[in-house]
This record gives sequence, C-alpha cells and structure tokens, in this order.
Amino acid sequence: MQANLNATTSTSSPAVVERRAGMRRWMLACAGAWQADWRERRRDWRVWLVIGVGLALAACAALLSSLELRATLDARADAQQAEQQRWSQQGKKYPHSAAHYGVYVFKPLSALAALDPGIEHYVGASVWLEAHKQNELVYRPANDEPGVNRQFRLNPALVLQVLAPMAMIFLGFGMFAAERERGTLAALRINAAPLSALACARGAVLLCLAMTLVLPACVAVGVLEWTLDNRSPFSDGGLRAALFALGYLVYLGTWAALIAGVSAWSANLRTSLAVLIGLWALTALVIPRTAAELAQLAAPLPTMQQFRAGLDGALGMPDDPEQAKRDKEQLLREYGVNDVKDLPVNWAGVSLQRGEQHVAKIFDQHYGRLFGAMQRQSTAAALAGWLSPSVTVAGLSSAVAGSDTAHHIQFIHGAEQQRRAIQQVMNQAITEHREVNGVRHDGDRDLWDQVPPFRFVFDALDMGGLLARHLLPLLTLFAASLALCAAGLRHLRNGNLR
Amino acid sequence: MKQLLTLIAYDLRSQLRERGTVVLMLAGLLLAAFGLYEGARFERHGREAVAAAGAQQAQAKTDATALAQRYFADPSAPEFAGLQWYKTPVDVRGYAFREHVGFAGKPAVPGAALAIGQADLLPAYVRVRAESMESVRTALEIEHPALLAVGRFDLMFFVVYLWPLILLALTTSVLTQDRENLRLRTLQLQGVRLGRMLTVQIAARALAATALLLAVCVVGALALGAVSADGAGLAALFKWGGVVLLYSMFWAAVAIAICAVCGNRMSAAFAGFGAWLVLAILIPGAMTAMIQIGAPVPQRERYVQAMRDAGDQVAANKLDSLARFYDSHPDWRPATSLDKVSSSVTRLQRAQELERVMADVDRQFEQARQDQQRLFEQTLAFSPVTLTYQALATIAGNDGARHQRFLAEVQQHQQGLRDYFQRVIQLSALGDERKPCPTTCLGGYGFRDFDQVPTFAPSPALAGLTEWRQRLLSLPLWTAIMLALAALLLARTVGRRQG
Repeated sequence: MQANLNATTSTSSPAVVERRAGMRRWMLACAGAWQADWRERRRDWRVWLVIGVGLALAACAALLSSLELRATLDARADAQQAEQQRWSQQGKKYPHSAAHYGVYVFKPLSALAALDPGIEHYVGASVWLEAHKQNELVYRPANDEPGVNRQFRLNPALVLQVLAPMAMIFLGFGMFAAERERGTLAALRINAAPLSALACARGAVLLCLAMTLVLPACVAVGVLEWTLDNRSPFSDGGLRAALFALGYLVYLGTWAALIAGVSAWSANLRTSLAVLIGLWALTALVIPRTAAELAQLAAPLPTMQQFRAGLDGALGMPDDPEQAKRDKEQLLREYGVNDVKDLPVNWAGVSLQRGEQHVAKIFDQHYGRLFGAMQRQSTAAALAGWLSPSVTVAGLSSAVAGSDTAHHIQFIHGAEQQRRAIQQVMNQAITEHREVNGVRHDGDRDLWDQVPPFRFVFDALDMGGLLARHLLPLLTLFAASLALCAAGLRHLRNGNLR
Repeated sequence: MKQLLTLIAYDLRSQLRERGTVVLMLAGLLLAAFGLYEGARFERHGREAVAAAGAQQAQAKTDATALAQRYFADPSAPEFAGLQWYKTPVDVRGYAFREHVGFAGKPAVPGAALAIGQADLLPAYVRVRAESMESVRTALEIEHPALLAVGRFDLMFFVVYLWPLILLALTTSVLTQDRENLRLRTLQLQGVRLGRMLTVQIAARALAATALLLAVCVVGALALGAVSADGAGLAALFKWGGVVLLYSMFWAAVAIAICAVCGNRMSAAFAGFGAWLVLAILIPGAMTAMIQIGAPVPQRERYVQAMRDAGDQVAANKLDSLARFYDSHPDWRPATSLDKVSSSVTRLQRAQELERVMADVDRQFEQARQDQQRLFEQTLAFSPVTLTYQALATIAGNDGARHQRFLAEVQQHQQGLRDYFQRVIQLSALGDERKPCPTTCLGGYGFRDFDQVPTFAPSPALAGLTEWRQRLLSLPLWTAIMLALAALLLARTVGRRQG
C-alpha cells in the first residue's frame, strides 16, 4: 500500500492565488503544499512504520560502526605506542640488527570511516617495516569473519546509499501518480496550483523524512570526533565532513527529484512503483557490481604468484656491478685512499645503504605498476557514476572518509617512506662508526630515537580529481533528475492527467 | 483438476503475450548469463594461477637440480665465485629459508564457476615456507579491494538477490489482478477454489520461469566450458539446479502469502518489495550485527603485539629453549657450546619456539573464530537468503569451511616440510662441525636432494564438498511456513470480504 496518496492538497483558495502573481504565489503554494503534505504524512501510520524501521536500522548501524571503529582505533593506538616503546627500548645492538628487528605501523582511521568503512574490511591494517623488504599489509578483518558478512553489511553507508532511497521510494512513489490514478489531479489543476511548487514541497518533505535516517550517523560521527582527542589523520577534516554531508544531500535530493519525476510521468501507482524499484535495483545493485567487474578489463591485475615471482626475480638480480665499482672508486677518491679498509667511514654502512636504494627502486617499479593498474581500475569503475548515483556517492563518500583504495595506497607509500627513513638512519650510524679490532659499533636508545615516530596524515583532497570522478557525475545526475522532474510536470501541465 | 490445468495454460499463454513479462525475463536471463560469464572468468583465472604456481615450483626444482649438478661437479668454477650461502639452493640453509619454492593449491571443484562465494577472499593457492605458517595465514590473491568491498557480480549474486525480485514481479499479479478487474467472482462461480488457484498459478509461473533460467544457465555453463560436460560437471549442475529450484519455490511461497492478502497489484508489488528488503537485506544485515556482538573476534592489532612480545621472549630465552631442543634431540647436539651455534642452524627451532609461546594466543583467536562460525551456523536457519547463499557457495567449493580444511592440510604439510629441513640442517651442521668446508660442500651444508623435499598433495577428501544438504532442510520448512501463513491470510481476507 502506498504510504501517501496526496489525494488533497490544501493551497490557498483560487481567488487568493489568482491575485498573487509570480514568485509570491509560487512561494505560498509551496508553503501550503508543504504544510498539507507534512500534515498528511504525520497522520499516516505507514510513514511512521517506514521511518521507524529505517531509523532503528540507521541507529543500529551507526552504533555498531562507531563502537567497532572506536575499538579498532584504541587497539591501533595502543599497539602503535607499544611498538614505539619497543623500538626505543630494544637495548644495545648493531644498527642493522635493529633494522631487521623493525617496527610495525598501523593504518590510521578517521571518524568518517565509521560511516563509510569502504575497503577497510578488505585490506590489512598493519605492516612490518624491516630491512631489505617492503612487506604487505596483513590481517584483513574480512578473513576473520564468517561468510554472511559478504552479503549486505549493516553500516551507515548501506543505510544512506541503499536503504534511504528505498524508504524514499516507499514514501513518495504516489506523489503524483496516486492523484492521476484517482483523477483528483484535474481538480488540483483547476485550483491553479503551480505543479512545480507542489513538486518542490513534496520533494522537500520526502527529503526531510529521508534526512531523519541520516541523524544517527551525524550523532555517531560527532561523538567519535569529540572523543578522538585530535587523532584525526586528515589535515582537511572540516572540508571532508562538509563534502560528505553535501554529497549525501545531493544524492538524496537526486532520488527525491527522480521519484517526483517518475511519479509525474507514470499513469498509475503500479507503474510508478515498478519503474522506481527497477531503477533502484539497477543503480544500487546491478551497476555497482557490474562496473567493478568490467573495470578489471581496463587494467588486469597480476596474480600474487606472478607478482611475487617477478619481484623475487628482480630482487635476486645483483645491482649493476659496474656502477657499484664506479661508486666505490669515487668514494675512495673522495677520501684519497686506495682500499676500503683505509676509509674513515664504515664501508658496510655505505654498502647496506646502496643495497637499500637498489631494492627501493625495484619496489617502486613493481608496486608502482600494481598500484597504477588498481588506480586505472578505480577510474574505470568511477565512470559508472555517470549512470548510477549510488556508484558516484559511494566513491565520493569513501574518498572523503579516507577509506578508498587511493587512500590505502597513500598509506602504503607513507609506511614505505618510514621504512626507508629507518634504514637510512641505521645505515648512516653504521657508516659513521668503523669497526674497531673487528668489533662492530652498537647503537643505543639515542640512535633509535633519531628515527622520527610514525605519524601518518593523509594528503589533502585532490579537488580536481574528486570533482571529475565523483562530484561532476553526481551533480549531473542531480540536474538530470531535476530535468526529468520538470519534464514530468510539463507532461502533467499539458493535460496528461490520466 | 482440468479446470486448473486450463487456467494455468491460459495464464502462461497470456503472460507470454505481455511485453513487460518478456522484457523482464530477457533482462533477467541476460544478467544471469553475465553473472555466469564472470564466474567462469574468475574460475579460469584461479585455475591458471594454481597451474602457474605449480609450474613455478617445478621450474625452480629443475633449475636448482641443474645448478647443484654444476656446482658440486666444480665448486671453484668462475660462475660460483660470488656465491653466497644464504642465496643459493645448493646450500640447505639458503634453500630452506629463501630459495625453496613450494606451493599448495586447492583442488578444483566441478561447479566452481557457478558461485565465486568466498573464493576472491580466500586464495586458491598459498606459498608454503618451512619456517612458519605465517605465509599461509596471511596469503591472499591480488584483487582490487573495492571489488571485494562491493561484491562480485556472479551467478550466485543474480540468483540470490535479483532472481527473487524478478519472480515477485512475475507473480504478484495473480489473484490481485482478478480482484482489481472483478473477474474473481466469475471464477469462483465456476467452482475454482481461491487457495488452489493462487497456489497453482503462482507455482506454475515460478516453475516456468525457473525452468527457463535453469535451461539457459545449464546450456550456457556447458557452452562456455564453465562446467565440464562429464558426470561430475553434470552432477554439480544438478545440485545447483536443485537449490535454485528450492529457492524459487520459497519465493513463490512468499508471493502466495502476499497475493493472498493484497487487494490489488500495486499493494502486492509494494508488499513484495518490502518482503524482499526484509529477507534479502535486513535479516542478513541483522545476522551480521548479531554475530559481531555475540561472538566478537579480538582485534588483530592485539595479535601483532602478542607476536612481537613472543618474539622478544624467544630471543631473551634463546639458550634455554635451544638446550631443551637439543635435550629432546641428543643426536643433533653439537660439540661446541650452544651460544656458538649459528643462528641459521637454530632458525627453525626458534620458529617452533615462537609457535609454542604463541600457542595460547593462536588458540584464543581460533576459538573466537570458531565461536563466530558456530553462532553463524546456529542462526543460519533464520535467513533463507543466507542459507541459499551458503549452499550455492558450498556447491561451488568456494565456502569458508572448505578453505579451513585446506589450511589444515597445508599445516600438516608445512610441519612435515619443516621437520624435513630441520633434520637435514642439523645433520649438515654436525657434518660441517666434523669437517668444516670453506665453501658449501656435500657432507656439510651442501644440498642436492631436491626430490626428497616434501611437496603438497591434497587428500581426496579435499576435492569433495562440505556438507550442505542438511543445512538446506530449513528452506523447504520456510516454504511450508509461508504457505501456511498464506492459507491463514487468505482465509482471513476471504472471511473479511464476505463479511
């Protein structure tokens, strides 16, 4: 049963409306329609049912997500602190042993990631930084969970991207179709009520009802931000929160306009409902998965076996021996000696650093190719955003929440830079201390503390990329929905009342 | 009976004449074909990756054998001038810790292309290292994380989520349309009983649509080569078809309950969509939440910390544990004092000691995983959609339980591999102690018995499927509940209308 038939709409009396022209008349009609629609919906138990269930789900999702994020953040903060302490207090040892002892670093999360966890469940969050190796991030949460989690995982993003439009469809498919079906639209037209004002008012009511489902998410993010004690991994947190809110507002606005447009075009309630459900299934279920599948064709990824075989093969190849020889001769010339034993610096440190620079080049090359392919896939999948508002808002929200693939790659690069910084400090210490009577110099806490603690902050948003990939498609789809709505109203205005 | 058959034939013919129905079915079949194609592509990709891993393992062994032949024939040849023991397969330490290439692959199952299930998350092959299971536990296949997060578009996704929507769209006009155009009374006057008419008409529509879907998918799977055209392949298709049929009948029962109570097509469509929403999204979502709360898995960051603490503890008690090790293996005890034993000789012992120290933490995490799985199994019967999802993933061999069995076999293999290398390294160390070589030599750490190194061979049981039939029993039960509900609702609705 449709939730609101909008059978009658109280506007000002025809005489009054006729006297007031232009904008004022439109505004009054809009305000009147808003009041009538709002009143009618308040009295409708079905509206309460839909909103009640939606709100309960949204609250559960927000609560669960924020509790989970809070626990994860606490665990990561504790682990990071313990690792820092472990590193500092590892005792006296040879710096290269310390480099092999290494340190774990953990990916930071923002409060917005509680609303849109994006890929967080499907990527590892900790990585071991050690000498000679760029290790993979390990322990994906999804691997610890049973199969049901691959279905629809209850989180605020699901509520906002999938369930809120559905609630709007339930509440709004009869916006104009009901009146057309029952023949009361003609009476409304006789009242000279501007259809655009009616559509605007009813669309706004629909949007307001949908926004109630957003409230728990807002509360959750507010509380999380409040308790995060300045631990945000963003330098532009305010901008991101604003974009997040704006994105969802436009998204829900797009659905409100789409529902009004389809309802105006449809000859009866059944058609309106069928078309809207079809659109919802297509844009929220079919296109996102299809786009992700087809994006693989844009840049196929290697298998792990191929990738590791290539990487291990390259790492197994020695550095250019001629270049090594030239570098060595240059160093000897610099210090005016003929043998490494006579150098005032420790050749072992120089050699280790050379080795690190060599493997760093290989890692950059191999991981660069892999991440490049992933980015091309992301770009290809984002093209589906021109067809589906769900795809574009999902891309936008995970991008601003820092839970998309690009941010994950940023973290991997950040962790790798930290690894290289550790190696440099350790190798420098080895270089500066020659072996005395075959005894190597050990480092101590002073040396370990020379490595700056790992505090990762994501880059500021690339507004150009965000605009091209997500904002522009979203705004275009919003404009298209408005155009569809306007065309639907024109269709009604031209006398297609049945 | 004749009346009903006539009615069914008339109804199916009139459905065929409706453009909307034909378009909907065509769109559905196209989506199913796309899902099947994607599943087949994924399965082929996985199979090729397992084969490539096997080929790499064989090639590495051939190369190592050839190198060992050359090296032990003339160790002083110029090509071996810069040989580093830790980087060469001819030295057992270099081979065990670095150069050994060993993979374990999950055997293929005939119906793998019919559902990707958990296969994109749980790799089909893992690299096995002698030192520890860490490379197995953290193994993954390279996938775009966003694809994992969004989920795959495979045949299972189509069947579980989209097919019910199509079935509901095809069936919700039964009885409701007759009520709308006031034809119902005429039919009743002809002696047609409402309940029977509702049931057979919806069942006929659902069966006809499902038969078409099954035919297209079976032909498509065989034509694409997604499922082999032999006994095992046909059996897999038969099982898959049976589950799809049961699932379709469940949704037909949902449609019967809806049409029993709804007065017109619009309200039936509305109720149908609502039912789909509750059954397909809300109940599985609620199950996830319940499992998350009821059986939480400890944070993995705690595991990392425990591992680091254990590593420190093992390093601090290095000599004690080494003494214990040689006490239990007196044949391998070196003549020199234990603090002089090379770290490359004690590396596997340290890894074993680390495992011993970590045993409690591992047990805790394993217990949490099992608790979660148990809760999941207990609540599975409450969600017909999740039941079907699991059954289809299991038939395809892409479920979590089969992966756990695979990991258990890999662990056994890894222990065998480690024991093998442990023995060879310890004996080599003794040999080297007795007669030290300046470079790697036979009798010392020299190694050429590559054929003796254990390789992974899956048990025949691993090629079989996890038990799934018993779980699926609750699906017909759900169908029966829906039919009973429909009978109740119809009686009430008829009573109210007549009253």
